Amino acid sequence: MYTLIAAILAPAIGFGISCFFWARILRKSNSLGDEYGDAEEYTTRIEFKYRMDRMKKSVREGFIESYYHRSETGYMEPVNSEEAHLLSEKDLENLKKPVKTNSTSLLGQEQYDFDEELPPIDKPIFKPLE
Amino acid sequence: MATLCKNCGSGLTFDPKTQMLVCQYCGGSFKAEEVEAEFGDTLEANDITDSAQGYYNCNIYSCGTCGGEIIIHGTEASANCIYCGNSTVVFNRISRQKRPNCIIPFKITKDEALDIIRERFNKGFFVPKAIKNFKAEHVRGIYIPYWIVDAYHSGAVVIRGTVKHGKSSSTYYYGRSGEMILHNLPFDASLLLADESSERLEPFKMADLKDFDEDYLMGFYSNISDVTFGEIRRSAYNRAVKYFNDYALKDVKGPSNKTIVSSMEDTALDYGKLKYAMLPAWFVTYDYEGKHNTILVNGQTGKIVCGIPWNKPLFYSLLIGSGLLLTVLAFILLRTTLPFMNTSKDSDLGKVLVAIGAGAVALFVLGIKTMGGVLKSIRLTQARDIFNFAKKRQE
Repeated sequence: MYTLIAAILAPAIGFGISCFFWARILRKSNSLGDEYGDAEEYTTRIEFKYRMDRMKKSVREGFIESYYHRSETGYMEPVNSEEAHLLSEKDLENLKKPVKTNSTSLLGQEQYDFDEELPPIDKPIFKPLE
Repeated sequence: MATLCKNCGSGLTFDPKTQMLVCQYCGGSFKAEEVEAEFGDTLEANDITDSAQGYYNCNIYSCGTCGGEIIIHGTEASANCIYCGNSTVVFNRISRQKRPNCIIPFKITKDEALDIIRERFNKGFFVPKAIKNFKAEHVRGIYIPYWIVDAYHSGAVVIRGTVKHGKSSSTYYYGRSGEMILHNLPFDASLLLADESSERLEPFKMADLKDFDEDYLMGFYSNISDVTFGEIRRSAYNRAVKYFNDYALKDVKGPSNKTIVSSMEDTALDYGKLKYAMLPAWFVTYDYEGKHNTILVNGQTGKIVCGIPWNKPLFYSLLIGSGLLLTVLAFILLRTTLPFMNTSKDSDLGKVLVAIGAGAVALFVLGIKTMGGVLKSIRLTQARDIFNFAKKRQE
């Protein structure tokens, strides 16, 4: 019995460790510069204004929609102690409407149209840092 | 279209080492930003940049095999395509191109780029000898067009995670919403160069950005932007979502197996700060086993980007040899220790064995995945695949 278990497990252990070890060496040796641009190089600000921990599954959609509802309707500051809530049918309909911005007309433009007049920013909610 | 030396009338080239325009014949050297102002009368009529209108003239060459287009500055003539390596590159047309706003001049010279590559290849344990002594077929300094953007990202994500309570565990959901501002985020603006390759060239030190001056291009190639607004927006959105999600995952501390299960997000670009820039890279091509390989070297920092074909006999013999050795050792160890582990708590022994087996399989899978990453890197390096990847992206 013990011999059988050892005979099954030993090759898995042996080749598992060997494959992992040599593959790591191979990557270090033969794949150069395979890391991508680091977020911290470009991030001047990251702020989580609203956090919810240990939620039950039933409220997760409410969290997302509630947050987005705020963004689309004037970008209200969320209150930390406020609980997430499901939106009404009317609110959900509003969310589905496309955002009113002239940026969508730019999507199909080709490179040489960069000279055309551009909106300074994509959306009015944009608030650049000082 | 060459800027000429005031002393002897020969073509000038930009020297990354001294950051000056130098004459190969008489040894004269001039500051790039001063050449036009002081010796403006030596420029050829066709070379004068209509900077007031934001355009400049350049010679476009195209490859008959892959269709790739490059711009060649100064007096150097092209013999081979930088993308596919074929020698079917011919002069196509003079074109008026949009003038970039800024440029990072080359800091690494051609010889330094080759030295960096050779030094790194010599350290590679699985790099074949033929590649360690590689002979560069072509070494081209190319200014890659980039769009540099500032972006505002707002998002909300729900993360699922597992929390252990003694022997049991529970699944919980965590919400994070907020905003992120990205500054000087670069996107390569050439469809022919795969995004994966150009992203790996990062980071560039944006503090070195200078106002664009054609004289920095002398002796180098450049490419032109051929992406649309939609592609820039899509690329910015994808990068911002990835960064935001990574930050959100890091912000949730405690649970294990964290996964994003739901999200909504939006990325807005600040067009007022959109910059068209030329960033430097060395493209070094060599042939190995009948395939073109292209190594990229960041022309500012010296970072190398490439996958190197490996010494397969050495790799597989080490893998199998050490695998067999470890198998024998593991068998002896298990056969000796299992009878002692088998106490009255049979169920615990079973769990331990299952955990050992799962761990071993996980290591094997991780190893295979890592090897897959190396293969992917090699595929990107082999020029035809780079081009095919770029072509797919255009579709």
